[in-house]
Amino acid sequence: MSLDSNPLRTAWAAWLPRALPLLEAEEYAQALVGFPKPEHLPLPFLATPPPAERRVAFITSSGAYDTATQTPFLARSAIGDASHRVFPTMLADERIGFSHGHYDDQDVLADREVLLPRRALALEGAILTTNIVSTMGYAIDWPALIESTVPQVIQQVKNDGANCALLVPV
Amino acid sequence: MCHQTVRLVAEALERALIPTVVVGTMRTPLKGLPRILISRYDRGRNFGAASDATEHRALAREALSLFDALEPTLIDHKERATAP
Repeated sequence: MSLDSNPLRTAWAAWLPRALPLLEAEEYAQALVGFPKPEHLPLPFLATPPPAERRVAFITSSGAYDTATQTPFLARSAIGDASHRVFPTMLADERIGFSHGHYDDQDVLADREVLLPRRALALEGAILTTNIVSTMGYAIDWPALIESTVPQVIQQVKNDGANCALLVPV
Repeated sequence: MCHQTVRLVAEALERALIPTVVVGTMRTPLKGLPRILISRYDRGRNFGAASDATEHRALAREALSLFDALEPTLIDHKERATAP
């Protein structure tokens, strides 16, 4: 299958040359004019398992990563970073870093709970699955995100045995 | 952009039959998702300020309660804060 057969990628590749200088200049509103997006189709409403049976996947777009074993996200890239990281849910606070660059990270560096409320969720009875899945919210390469990253995230969530998910966009 | 990329993930999870709750700081990019909690706080501290464990826990409780919803549900604390 040719890459050209993906209409979203074709549209994205046509949009990018005009947008790239604006993205590099951080003129995001202008840059994102005409940004190609897939259609959002209506979602059927799903019932959640009873509370005692819930296994909650935690997904963040804060750019969190394990500083000891993983590379940071490409926070300075004009097109962001469409990759993802997976690290243990109970990883020590001091091992969790953030590379995003598009939000004020002072609070989360002082207290991981402001974005990764692991203790608060546990105190409220949530059973989180083994791993946190992390992306960097500023990801301009949506074809890569849709074709590669999102399916891997879904598979990770399934592998971890989640039957519901809590997502925290940043 | 950040909320929009998470929306893509949430939609894919829902289509994979995994119900979602999203705790964001902006309502518009999340429109159409089934369970949304809009925090009163700014982006980057969705569950409250650093060291405010009481607020972290209150928002965690509220987010988890959305899993009990039987129909599409939106809790928008920013709207409540600005309502007359």
